[in-house]
Amino acid sequence: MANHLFNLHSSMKKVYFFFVLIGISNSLIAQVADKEAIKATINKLFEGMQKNDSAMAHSVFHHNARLNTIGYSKKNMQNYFIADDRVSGFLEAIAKPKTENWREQATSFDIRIDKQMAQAWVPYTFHLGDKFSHCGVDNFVLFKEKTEWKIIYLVDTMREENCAK
Amino acid sequence: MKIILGLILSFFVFNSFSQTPEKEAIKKVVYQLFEGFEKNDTNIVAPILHKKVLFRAVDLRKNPTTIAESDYQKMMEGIAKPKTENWREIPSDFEIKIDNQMANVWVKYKFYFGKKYSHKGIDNFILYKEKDQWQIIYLIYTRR
Repeated sequence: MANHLFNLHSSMKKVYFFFVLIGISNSLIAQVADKEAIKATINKLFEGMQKNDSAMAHSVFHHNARLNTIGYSKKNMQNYFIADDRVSGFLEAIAKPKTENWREQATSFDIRIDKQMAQAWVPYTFHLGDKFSHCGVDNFVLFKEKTEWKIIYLVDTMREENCAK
Repeated sequence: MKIILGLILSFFVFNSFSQTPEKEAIKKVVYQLFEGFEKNDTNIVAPILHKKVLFRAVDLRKNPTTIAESDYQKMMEGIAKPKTENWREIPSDFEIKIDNQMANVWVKYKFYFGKKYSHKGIDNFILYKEKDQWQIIYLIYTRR
């Protein structure tokens, strides 16, 4: 009897262990899927920029998104921070026909996720057509609305020197 | 060969050293915010909050999840308000990234009213350094 109980106990343990494993792997798979979806959102923004397609770029932004910029002014010899809500201005600039297209490329992705909120630290290079222009870091905050990851905030740095080309 | 190896090694060591004081300065900003919370003291908080800071609270306890926004003015009013039970926010596991004058802090927190546990989540800070002082320009946090 005792032996029987012990066996039951150990098989229950196995079942329990099995479900824990499934739980862990499910959440790992979900994390990987979320990270891929976030990368896709960011790359879609860059694709929209390259193709002058403001509708494509618009589709990746949350309706309440804000864009900020951090840089260094050589003229004033100091850092600056611009906190104006210029999503619409940015979209207009994307739509404008250009002789040399904007080519922004991520060099790496560092992504952290807490359920529906995510952070992506993305070093980038920026080319005008084939000509190198500048580099920096795109610092994205994303929010998962239903099933889609949208950019809810973006602040970037830009510089012309010390860029890996 | 050994000299080159030594040079490469010291480069890495110095490189990581040069980031360490910055990371400590950034952590200090976060602790200073929480100190201001606990002491109801806007003077503690004023130097480390950019005037154009944007706060966003993502409440994962609600269905569907809500996002509430706040700004410098509202945050200062919230801190200044007298409370029977003080705000106590305890951070843990700092993850800090720096690119020149921009930084990102991803940190777990637990929030208490006095001694009573209220909720926890992630604080996702973005900071900017104009001259010498890091300031918070953006904070989005989850609540669960």
